[in-house]
Amino acid sequence: MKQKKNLAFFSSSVFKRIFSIILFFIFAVILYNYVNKVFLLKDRMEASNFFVNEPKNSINVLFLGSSHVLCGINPLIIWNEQQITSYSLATNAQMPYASLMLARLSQDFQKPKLIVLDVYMFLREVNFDASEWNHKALDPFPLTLKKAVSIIHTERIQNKMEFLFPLVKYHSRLMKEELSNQDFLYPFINTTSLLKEYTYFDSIYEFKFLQNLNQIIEKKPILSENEKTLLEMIQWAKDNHIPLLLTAIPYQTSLTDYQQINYIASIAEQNKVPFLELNTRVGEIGIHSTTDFKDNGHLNVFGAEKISSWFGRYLASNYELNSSRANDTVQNWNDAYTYYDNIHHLKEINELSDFLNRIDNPHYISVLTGGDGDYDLLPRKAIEKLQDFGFIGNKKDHSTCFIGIIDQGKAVIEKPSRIVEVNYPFNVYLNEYFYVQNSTTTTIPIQIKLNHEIVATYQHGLNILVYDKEKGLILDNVTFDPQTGLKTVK
Amino acid sequence: MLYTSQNFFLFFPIVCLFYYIIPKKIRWFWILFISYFFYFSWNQKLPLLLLFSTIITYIGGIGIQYLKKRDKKPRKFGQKIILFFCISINIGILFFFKYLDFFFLNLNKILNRIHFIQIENPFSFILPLGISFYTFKVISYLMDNYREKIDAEKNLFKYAAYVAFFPTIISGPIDRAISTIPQITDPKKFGFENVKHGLWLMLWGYFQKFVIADRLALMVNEVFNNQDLYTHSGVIGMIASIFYSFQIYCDFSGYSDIAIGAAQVLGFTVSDNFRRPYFAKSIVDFWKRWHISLTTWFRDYLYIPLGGNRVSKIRHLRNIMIVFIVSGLWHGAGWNFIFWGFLHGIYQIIENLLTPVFHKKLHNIKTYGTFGFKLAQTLFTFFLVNFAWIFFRSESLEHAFTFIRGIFRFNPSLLFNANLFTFGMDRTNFEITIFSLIILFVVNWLQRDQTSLRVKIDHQPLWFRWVLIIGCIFFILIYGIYGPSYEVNKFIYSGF
Repeated sequence: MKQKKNLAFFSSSVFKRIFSIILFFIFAVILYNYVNKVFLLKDRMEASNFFVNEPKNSINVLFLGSSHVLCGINPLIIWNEQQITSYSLATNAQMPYASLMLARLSQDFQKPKLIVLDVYMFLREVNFDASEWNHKALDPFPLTLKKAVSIIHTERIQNKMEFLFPLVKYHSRLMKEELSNQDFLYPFINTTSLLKEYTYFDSIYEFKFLQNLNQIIEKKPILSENEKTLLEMIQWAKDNHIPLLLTAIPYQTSLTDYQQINYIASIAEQNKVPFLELNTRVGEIGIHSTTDFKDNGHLNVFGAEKISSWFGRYLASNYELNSSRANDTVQNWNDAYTYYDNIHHLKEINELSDFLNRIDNPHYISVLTGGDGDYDLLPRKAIEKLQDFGFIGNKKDHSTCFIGIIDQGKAVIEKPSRIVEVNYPFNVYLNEYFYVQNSTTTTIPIQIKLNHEIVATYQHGLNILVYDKEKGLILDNVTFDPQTGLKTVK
Repeated sequence: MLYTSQNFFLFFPIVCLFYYIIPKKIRWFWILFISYFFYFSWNQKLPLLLLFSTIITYIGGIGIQYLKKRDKKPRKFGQKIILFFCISINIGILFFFKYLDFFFLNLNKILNRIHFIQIENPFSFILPLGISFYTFKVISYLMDNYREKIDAEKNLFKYAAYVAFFPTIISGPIDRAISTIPQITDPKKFGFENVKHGLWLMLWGYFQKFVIADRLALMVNEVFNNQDLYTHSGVIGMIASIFYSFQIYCDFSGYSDIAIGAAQVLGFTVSDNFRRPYFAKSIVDFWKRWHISLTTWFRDYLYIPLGGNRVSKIRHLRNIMIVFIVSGLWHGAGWNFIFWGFLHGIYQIIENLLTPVFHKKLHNIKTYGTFGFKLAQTLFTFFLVNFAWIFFRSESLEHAFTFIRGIFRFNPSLLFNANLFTFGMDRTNFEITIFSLIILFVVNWLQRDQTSLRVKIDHQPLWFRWVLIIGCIFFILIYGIYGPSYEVNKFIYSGF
């Protein structure tokens, strides 16, 4: 009898109503989640969009902080030298409270064995709350109870609704006609950051460091609100048994800044948290103010390599961070390093075979063009590599030119005959394509267009244009001239 | 806290949750508490004014009640004194806060004419939110008490809950004590249908406000706020004035739907404020459909005491004019508002005088009562109402006349080239506006038989209802004019 009563409840209108309400909410939440992701800003690499897509618990060290970390710490160098997986969950002008929130939110995705926090933004009193940087840092994280509580509890966040539901902020993107196909595809693509959010700059800026930093012993208090957040961060790390390492990545520091860094050092000491102040160690690391910065605040690729290498050694010798990893994880990180290495070093390669080996990369599209007969003048090694890509070779059918395109390491187009033009749509969703217009006379050069825009013109020789699909950048544009012994013309 | 503020979206679910969790006996206290909290969140000092009005009218109500019951023959004189005293105080407060600036402005104009020294207004306060509405509420309470329609509420707190009832305090509907106090005293049980229908109505209100009204405001504000640029607006002025007619309708109807819906979620029944006003076939008909709670208030507490239509023709017409001029003044302290009321008074008088004549003549016309005939009536009424709105929207009477002169500039070519989209509203927004107005028209059309559209939707299959609700939510979320990228538009009537 009792059982019948129980069953009756499930077929009752109340149950049906409750069930349909729950189902409705699930459906609405799924739809909201999709729409929200579509509208998020994705145009900047500094956003933490890709962090949430990293394989779970695959990161050992998490770097937090502002653009100083983005430009100064290269997780791939640390990986290559120390086999430690790390991630730069830094964002431009990352406010202290955002760092704390990111540390909390990251726990749903990774269980890092160490969190490294750059303290630069703890010295600042600038209010970046209204800027979009904090949105870029926090919005990609799904709305969980933890995130909601953090947002509600954070006094500095005034427009809580916008942080809880970023669609409130970004819905106008549709009216501004900012949405692209990429935005609509984004919720379905779990892309990870190949550079682990490291931001690459190779320009050089010269300045002078503040001298005798070691002699500055005065302390200047930081903003009380920032101090409170720092203490909260330390307490949170202790409560969660996650070692915390404070650091200050080198930059052109001022006297006031350094006095405040001293103040933070004293807080770290009182709370028994290690603090790596790197401005005083630039000599030891080998950082030069004349070669290693892109501006007075940020390291360039040369400085980042030195800092990262030093940091890697420090981590390896002070923390137990190496652990056994699945082969595919190791392979992914190695591939990522190769990818970085190419970005940094491809332009330095002058030997054709080496160059061809380097462009054998799934993230690249290489457009090869050559003048009449140039193909046959190539060295055997290079021709073999071209054949490895899948090129058959010039049939000498009275062609004036050679056009070939390599995508994902395979020849996808080879046009050795009298072809006037070639179109290669490599991303139909985003309407991205290469268009090559052949040279019909010696006076009219070969032209390469990338989405309408002319990106290269050539007269003769074997020309290779390397395009990085991930970064949307032309990595190199080089001519190997067989008439001059395959000397490179960049 | 306004209905469009982010805090309200947090506040309202909490209010509802607690309202249904706590015992029925103390729900009125919860209503009182959250209503004052709601009002307090806007300004920390002005709730005292609300409290003052409440206490005065509470005592007045008790006094009238006492005199009614003390003798077998009610001492009308004593009651009248109390009534007059209480109404005077409340009207005095309203005058002090709303009309004092206007009074000094005009006094100084007169003094200036006769070369006297001008007097500065020694008091300058912000207009307390909802003062025009709750003042009318308390007056209606006293009047109903005096007329023996209701007994005085003995519990001050319950009465205070009625006066401050948060869904309607900002801009109405001006609910009557006769219907609201019993609902506060004896709250309804949780009813799924009530909650569902209330939420639907709120959703439709937000659609009208965020998607239509605030989008229309993009062009309306651009044209009306930059009079110097649009002195020869021509067709743009016409479009802006038509857009304003729809803006004010969607803004106020949207607000009213949110208020009525919010009250319904809590189990309260609040009177309707709109009944498809732009489908009206005459001005008299329009005022039966527009801001119904105010119109009925004026009917009951001003028009009828003046004698209504049971007096001579001249006095009847005078009564109509008084009501509409006072109505104009109620909306705002400005000559443009008074003129707007005056214009509607004129419309009504002309209609009143011509209707018998036209009825005789028109009945003989073949096309009388056809769709085309009715459409012409509706469009003509809309034209008159639309013309009057220009005075309502303009900053001053002078501004309104300049605007009207500008409309007569002949430039219809603007309608057919891209320049149309350079007046505050780009092409995309323009297209969404037109699409949204079509939705508004369809919804209003579906309501023509007076049956609740929500009941009609209830009879549809589940999938249809879901698509409708989710579609509406996401349409508002995506196409709504809100968030940091847009200028926030307050509800127009919250300024009255």
